Amino acid sequence: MLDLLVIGGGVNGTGIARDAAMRGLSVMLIEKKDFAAGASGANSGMIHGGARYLLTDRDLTRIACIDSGYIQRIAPHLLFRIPFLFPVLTKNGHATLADRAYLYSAECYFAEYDRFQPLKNGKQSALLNDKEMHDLEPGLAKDLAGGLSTDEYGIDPFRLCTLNARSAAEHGAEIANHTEVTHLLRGDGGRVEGAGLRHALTGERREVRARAVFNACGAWGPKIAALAGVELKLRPAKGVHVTLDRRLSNYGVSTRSVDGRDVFILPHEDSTIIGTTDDDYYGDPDDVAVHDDEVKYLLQSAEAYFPAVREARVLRAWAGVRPTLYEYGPLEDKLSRDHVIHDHAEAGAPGLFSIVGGKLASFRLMSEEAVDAVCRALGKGAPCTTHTLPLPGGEATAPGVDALTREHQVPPFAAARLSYRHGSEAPRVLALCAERQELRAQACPCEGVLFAELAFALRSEFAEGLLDLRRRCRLGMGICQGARCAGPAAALYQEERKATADEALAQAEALLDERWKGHRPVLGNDALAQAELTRGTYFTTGALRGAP
Amino acid sequence: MNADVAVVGGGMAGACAALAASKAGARVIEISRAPGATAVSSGAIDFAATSSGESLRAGAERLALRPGHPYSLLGKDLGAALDGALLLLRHSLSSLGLAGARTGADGNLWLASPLGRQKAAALAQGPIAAGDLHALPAGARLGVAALCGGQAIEARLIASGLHQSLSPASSAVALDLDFYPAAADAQRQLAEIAADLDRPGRRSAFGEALSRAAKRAGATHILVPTVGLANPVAAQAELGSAAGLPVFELLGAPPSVPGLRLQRALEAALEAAGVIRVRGIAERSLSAQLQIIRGGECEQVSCKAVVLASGRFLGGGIRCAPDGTLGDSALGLPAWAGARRRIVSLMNEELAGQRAGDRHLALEAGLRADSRLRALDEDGRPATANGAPVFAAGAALGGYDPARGDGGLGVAALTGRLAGLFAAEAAR
Amino acid sequence: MSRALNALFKLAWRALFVQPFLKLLRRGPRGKQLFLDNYSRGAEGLLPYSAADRSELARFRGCINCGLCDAVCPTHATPSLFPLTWSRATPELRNIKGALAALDACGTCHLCQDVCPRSVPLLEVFAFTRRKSAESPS
Repeated sequence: MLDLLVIGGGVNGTGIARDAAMRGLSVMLIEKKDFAAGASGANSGMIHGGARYLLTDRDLTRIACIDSGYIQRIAPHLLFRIPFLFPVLTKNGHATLADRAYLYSAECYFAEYDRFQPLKNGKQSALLNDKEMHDLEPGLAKDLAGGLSTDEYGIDPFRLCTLNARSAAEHGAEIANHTEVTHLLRGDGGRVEGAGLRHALTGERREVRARAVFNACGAWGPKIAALAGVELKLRPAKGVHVTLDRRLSNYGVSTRSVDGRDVFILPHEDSTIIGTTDDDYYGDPDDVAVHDDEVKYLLQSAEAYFPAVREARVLRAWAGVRPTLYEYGPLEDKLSRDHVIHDHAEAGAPGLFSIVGGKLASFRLMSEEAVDAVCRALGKGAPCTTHTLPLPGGEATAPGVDALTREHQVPPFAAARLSYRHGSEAPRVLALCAERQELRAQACPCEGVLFAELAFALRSEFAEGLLDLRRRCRLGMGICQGARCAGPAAALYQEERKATADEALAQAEALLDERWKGHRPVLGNDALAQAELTRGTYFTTGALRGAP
Repeated sequence: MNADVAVVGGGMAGACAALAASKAGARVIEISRAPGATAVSSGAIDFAATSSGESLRAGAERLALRPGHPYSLLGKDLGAALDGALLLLRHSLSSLGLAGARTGADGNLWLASPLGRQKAAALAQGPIAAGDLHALPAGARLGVAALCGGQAIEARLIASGLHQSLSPASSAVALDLDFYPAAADAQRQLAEIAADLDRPGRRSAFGEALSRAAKRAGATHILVPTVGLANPVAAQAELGSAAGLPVFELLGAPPSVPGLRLQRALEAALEAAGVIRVRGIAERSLSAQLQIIRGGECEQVSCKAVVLASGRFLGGGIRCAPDGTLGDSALGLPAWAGARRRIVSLMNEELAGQRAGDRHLALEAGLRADSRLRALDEDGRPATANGAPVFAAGAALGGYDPARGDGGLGVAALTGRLAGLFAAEAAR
Repeated sequence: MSRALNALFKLAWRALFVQPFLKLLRRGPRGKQLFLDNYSRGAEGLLPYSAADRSELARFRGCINCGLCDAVCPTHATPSLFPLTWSRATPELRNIKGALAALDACGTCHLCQDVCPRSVPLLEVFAFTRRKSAESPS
């Protein structure tokens, strides 16, 4: 019998599994799709220091900054710095007293935030006048009252979840993605004692017994709680982002939408993301579609502050469902993003725990709290060490790109991306090239993905198909959105998995379908030309679906 | 600049229009900005999907029943137009050794696709057409050359896919070659390999490597990703004799070597036919005339007929304005996606299906035309440019989707030739 | 509630007393200089884009990875990598200075740019990438 069964492979689930495994509990982590397939992969990808809590609870800011520092310590390779610009607009070209007062209050606000910046190796804010703002970012709106800078970090959220899962496995946890819960096992007094599982790809069923079950399913949480007859209330909120084809700027820009919400323009990896919307969503979290007006809303907000956005190419739009806490609020954004850990013992389901709410940046702390609760209930477990022991690849400084390029004869751009994604593990990935020289080639030139990296993910990172590979190493997330890489990656999948050609091509089509889903709401000249080429390659020339 | 017929677009449709008009005695200028979809095509020319053994004409007539398909405009003339297009192509592209159907009574070839599927097409370049999978003798063992890098990995998928569809009558196997042994060779792209094979001595060395590998694997026929760029017919013969076995070429995915060859062969055919070729952007002048923009210069074109063969979104013939309105990029004529003038994001499948390979009316967008292929304006009347009638051909015409078996370059050739003939007639 | 009051009090204290005082006393770089010291000189290479960069960038957007430019390049230098990857994020440029050297063999024959179906101004993308690479710290 296991100590803990964790349901949900988002950042909470993988974080809890890692934490619990490192405390010596016997753990199994299950996820019905793949790590970060839900809201954990559909957010702005920021590890921020909780500047917004300066208005309500400074301790939260302090804790968030400390934890951001911890994440830098355990995964130094995965974080990238995002300097932020906060432009203060004027109505008709002249800064009114109100504009100046707003600027001054912002100055004080960020100066106050600066006191916490050293906790996360952050930089001090700078007060900038209109000319300085435009020197730093000429694409901003004209005639600003001025602006401020502050400092945050971005992260690849997909890799964060994968590395948590891998680390959990290294500490003895059993990891099963593509595995869904069919029912919960109940014992004396309604005790939740495990779950019936079904592998989503093979259909294989099994039962797993555990002394505690943690429901970390985000927006899917109520469904799991309902299996135990427990009502779990939350207020699901849909968040839409759009991705632009390149870094419009190396600096994030904070904008305010027509309805007064914050919308960020963020450099993320090699692209820019704009987000997010925030609307109540009571539909099926497995089937979230982006509407035309949501894309327009984001672009309008961005253009008011950064008119250069208008000329950029929108690659795709995507959505996730945030599991926001259930609480009345006048505007969705006002709802706290904070989290609650439920022990459902009083609701008649002892042994079942749920975590609701939270945010990417504080996943580690939330996981620690969650596992504390489990340890108390089980009466066992060592103290938490997730803030000191590194994630895979964070153990040492990543080797230099030049050295990797020279030693393994791979293109330098691919080596650089590999080094970002895999940190000190990069040589381990490249060692696969010694096995077969072909693995040195790039499967996806847009994102610099080598076949070796795909092979590594298929062998050592629980990737089951091309959609998983997209999450592991950004396969198909570049400008051409899978036009070049779906076929080559499917070919590698076939080799690695000893799959049939039909199975491999079904994988290629699944990747193209998923990319098309993001393309569909943003069809313009570029997207249509891209789709014409992609479909020509796969469905006309390639006859992917066979003869019609 | 003046001419009888001005053709906008230099891909398959534009070239066929220019060649046909020129043959009909018209003085033709061909205006193109850059290569388009033809240059990234596979090396196959498909007119219509058919079942095995079915004639092209039967396939085309089935498509003519689809409302909006260009074939549906042609009525009883479709059969003759099909024969005429096949003849024109075989005649004009003889340097590529174009082979396959002679008339509409013949069926499609079944060619090995870069994903290891069978792709149906009426015509293909010599080395590709020779590899008609339905013509392989029983017991044949097809060796798929795995050269280096990603190409080698894909070759094994192709071999496995072909094996699945050929067995039990015949089989396929991947041939691991030692032709590119260096670590740096893994980064070679196919076009680079093709250029390498065109160097003196390289092709015979490649043929010998193929021969060794085929012997090891017991292959009776060999499928290579490319025979070289320049002269496919001679290259295939050279490889075949060096390997001692029949050697065929795969269809190409972008950047496709056969596509590039096709584009060059079309350009050569235009030169040979005496068509005046101009590089530049064709657009409507203030006086509703056609004009050419080249660098900073602008030149009026006076002509008696215009053919728009400028492609769809990839070629740039059809443009989607920021508000989603569709129009042709040269004369600003209205274009439609199904019944809509604008691309809007719809939650249903009216304009774009849910899956990548589904039917998307948004990607079939194009001009509307009458039975003489005259492009129609907003009111459904034949459009003119400063009095000259405007014809439309190829992907600039809406209503067909190559990815759904509606015919691809074949439709472009067929409508291009007809538009050229009609334009020459109008100019007379 | 008391936490919120405390938070607001701290901010008000800052605004009314601390900040005016600090502004008078503060030495060292401030404004744009502080920002540049923070970000573009350091190892992260988070360079600003100039107004000229900004107007160019808008025209780099059309690439669909058809590879025609790669197929016609006489030096096989894979020109498509410039619009597809290298010009997309300047912090990456620090790592690919060696690869950019391939441009030294480029005879600016224009073949790649002329063949582009999407009219991507490849030679400008090369020049941009090179320029930003030179600005990037090594």
